[in-house]
Amino acid sequence: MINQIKSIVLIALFLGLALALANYLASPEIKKQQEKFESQQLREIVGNRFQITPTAPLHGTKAYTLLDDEKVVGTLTQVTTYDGYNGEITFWLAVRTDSVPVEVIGVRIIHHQETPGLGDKLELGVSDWVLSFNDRQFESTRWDVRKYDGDFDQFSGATITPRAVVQAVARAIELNLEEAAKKPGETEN
Amino acid sequence: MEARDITYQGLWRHNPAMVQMLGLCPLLAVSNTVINSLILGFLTIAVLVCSNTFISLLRRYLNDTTRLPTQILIIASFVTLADISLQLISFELHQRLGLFVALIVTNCAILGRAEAFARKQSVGLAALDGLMMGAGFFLAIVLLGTVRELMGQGTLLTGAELIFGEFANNWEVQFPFEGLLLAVLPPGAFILFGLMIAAKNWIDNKIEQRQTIRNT
Repeated sequence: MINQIKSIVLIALFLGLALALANYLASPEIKKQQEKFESQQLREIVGNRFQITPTAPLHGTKAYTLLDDEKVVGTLTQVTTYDGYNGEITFWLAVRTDSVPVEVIGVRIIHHQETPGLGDKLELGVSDWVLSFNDRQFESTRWDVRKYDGDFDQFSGATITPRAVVQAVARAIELNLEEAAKKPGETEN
Repeated sequence: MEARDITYQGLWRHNPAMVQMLGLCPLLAVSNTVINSLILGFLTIAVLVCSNTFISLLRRYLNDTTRLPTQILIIASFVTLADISLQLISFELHQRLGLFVALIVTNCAILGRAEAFARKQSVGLAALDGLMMGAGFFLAIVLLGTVRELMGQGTLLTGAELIFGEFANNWEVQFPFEGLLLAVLPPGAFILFGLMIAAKNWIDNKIEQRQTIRNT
């Protein structure tokens, strides 16, 4: 019995050490890849016009400030909505806050579990729908899908999904504005 | 057991996916595109070859009481290594498939081969068995992935650039028809996989018939 236990313990120790070593060797490179992937994603939304600097999380999610020559011109926040057809939809929302009226720079879906073939038109690879947020002015846009007299297309066979995103964008901008109104002259921190 | 026999068993006669029906969870979940199938199939081969080899090396130290946990431990370690490697190769791909890579541990084809073959055979044969059984799984998942992507989205090789790099940017083939939604969804995976098994059985029956005719 002792021998049997000995063999499994020794194998476990050996494998554990091997994995720890592999993890130790790989983790800096993985971290680099992850950062590259994330910054690529952010650059895709914002373009090369602004610097992106991380700020303290806003409402518990990741947030960045967009700077143009040291001057704060907008925010880049991660927004999650539960109003979709199936679970969470998470997306990046970039907003220009220095312009009046407030203007959307872009929206990009990070994660969703909407129905493949119907709701997944949210993804940029599947359709260009998400680009219809680009350069929208907050006040002059009707934040809903066409079926409900809004400015955004719904998908054939799926209204709930695009509607959830459109309304979540509007809500997030509103929250942003309230936040900014509460402490004028300051950036969110 | 000879090498030829092992090859035939793994690829066709006892194909882990189509005959033994093992590893159906990753098989059905990931086979929605060719590229996803290729990656998962490849990682399964890698894990299966490594775990079979390692278990065969240690076969003298495996005993009845602790054999199963030891084998799972070894398999899980190699899956973790595969997971780390995938993150190194393409982080984006890992974002898409990460969950299913971890699930390779539960692919019973791997534990099945450890239990039924590797722990009793020499290292060379065990490695070959892992390679062939893995290749059998690979063929099944890539075939299913091809059919599903073609029928479901009307495309082939979407996302090839994620594994083959920049020059694969225009590998994607777009066919002139809208996809059939069913093929993308899990029920479609089940139905198409059922048809694949039926086709294999039909071929096997034909071969058998021909042999009986020749024999009489």
